[in-house]
Amino acid sequence: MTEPSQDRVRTGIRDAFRRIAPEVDLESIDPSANLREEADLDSVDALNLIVLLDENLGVEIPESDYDQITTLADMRRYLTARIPGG
Amino acid sequence: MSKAYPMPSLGAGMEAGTVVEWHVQPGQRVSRGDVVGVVDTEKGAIEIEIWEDAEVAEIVAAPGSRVPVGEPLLLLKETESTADQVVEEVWDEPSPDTPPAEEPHRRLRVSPVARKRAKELNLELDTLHGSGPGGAITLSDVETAAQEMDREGLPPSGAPEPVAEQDESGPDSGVDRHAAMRRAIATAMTRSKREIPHYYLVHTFSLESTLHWLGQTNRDRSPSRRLLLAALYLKAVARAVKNFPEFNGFWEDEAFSRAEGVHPGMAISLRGGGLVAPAIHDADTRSLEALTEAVRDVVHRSRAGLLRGSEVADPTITVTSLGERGVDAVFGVIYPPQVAIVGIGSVAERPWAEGGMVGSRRVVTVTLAADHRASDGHRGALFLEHVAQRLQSPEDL
Repeated sequence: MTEPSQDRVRTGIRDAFRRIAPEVDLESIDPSANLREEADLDSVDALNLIVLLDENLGVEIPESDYDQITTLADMRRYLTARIPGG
Repeated sequence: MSKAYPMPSLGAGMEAGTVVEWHVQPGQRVSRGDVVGVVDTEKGAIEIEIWEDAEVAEIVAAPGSRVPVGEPLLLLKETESTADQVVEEVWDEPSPDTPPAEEPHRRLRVSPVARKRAKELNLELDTLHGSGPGGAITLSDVETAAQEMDREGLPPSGAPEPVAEQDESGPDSGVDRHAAMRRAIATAMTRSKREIPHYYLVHTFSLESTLHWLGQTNRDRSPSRRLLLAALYLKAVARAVKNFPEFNGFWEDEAFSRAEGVHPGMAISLRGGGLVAPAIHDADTRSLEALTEAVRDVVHRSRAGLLRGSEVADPTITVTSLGERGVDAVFGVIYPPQVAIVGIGSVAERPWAEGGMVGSRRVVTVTLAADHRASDGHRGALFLEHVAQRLQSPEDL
């Protein structure tokens, strides 16, 4: 079951980025680098991203967990562990 | 009786705009606040709204035509119910959530860069699925569609490499737009520094109680209901100018004129370069929730190139925050004919002496650049202190 949830997380993240920062090519982003810096996201983008991840994947990320999703790899891991039905 | 609907002035220095598309056709009735079309300006593609109930009699300016500010775009026939209505409250919020009742054509929202790329790739825009705000077609949608066609072996994979800048032509090409926006910024900022005697004030204060309150407030909220610190900044500035109206308005014809409402422009940098500062309307009276929603929406639409005319027209004061980029303070350049810009630096943890004790506090540096023709430093200092006090009592914002 891990494979489908990983795929769903990837798709959910990709869709969220298409809507808040369509010019960002996620494939070219270093998954271990700071995502906000790499993708040039400000705090408004960041909140929009969190809202879209909730909408797309059904995972509400509390503010206190923001430091656990600073890189793309961390974000994927965090979401994969919590996605409903994952 | 028919009257002209002219090309609106979407900010100081705008001389003309190019009609991109119309969302209306002759015979169609339109209501106050409806978006009737899109014009291309140096600030990007702007949705233009109508300010009275009327019927479209004639489309005077066809898509593609460049029309000077004040020249007619449409001819409108007054409808009976509104024949004697005075139309001047251009600051009222249209109701963006209410879609037009009838749409004669499928309304196509396309970001400028997507339009350009689709043209390069020979893609028909109305065959694409839009994933942007309000179903807008974004660059990513165009690229995705192109990739899918590539994969399926369909045309138009032979698209040329992105065209070199000097080969760009046409009024709505991305490069031209970028250059036009640079020129518009250059003109406005040169005029500002040439004409406006700026004075600058700096105030650093603890944001500890504010951030604590914000953290507590957001802790149990679902993401879509969380507040942004930016909303607190806007509200604090907007409330403060109610007490200090000399910072909220315009210097025109050698005199200061107060603005009726409080519509802070929020400086938003665009990823491709350049910036816009659309107005957040009536920020003094809106809840922090509503302001957060407005900020999220306007940032999204700014970057998708879908601002509305009423937003870009004339904010009454500007708030700029470069704090996210890690700088301590920003000393703004006033956007004429406004008379003040509030700059907000990054929140940083610093050693802080208070009541004879040194501790660690999260602090922020807020600056004011103001027009000395319209106000003096003494009032400016009181204004900044007022902003600080309001920010430090977020529960009362």
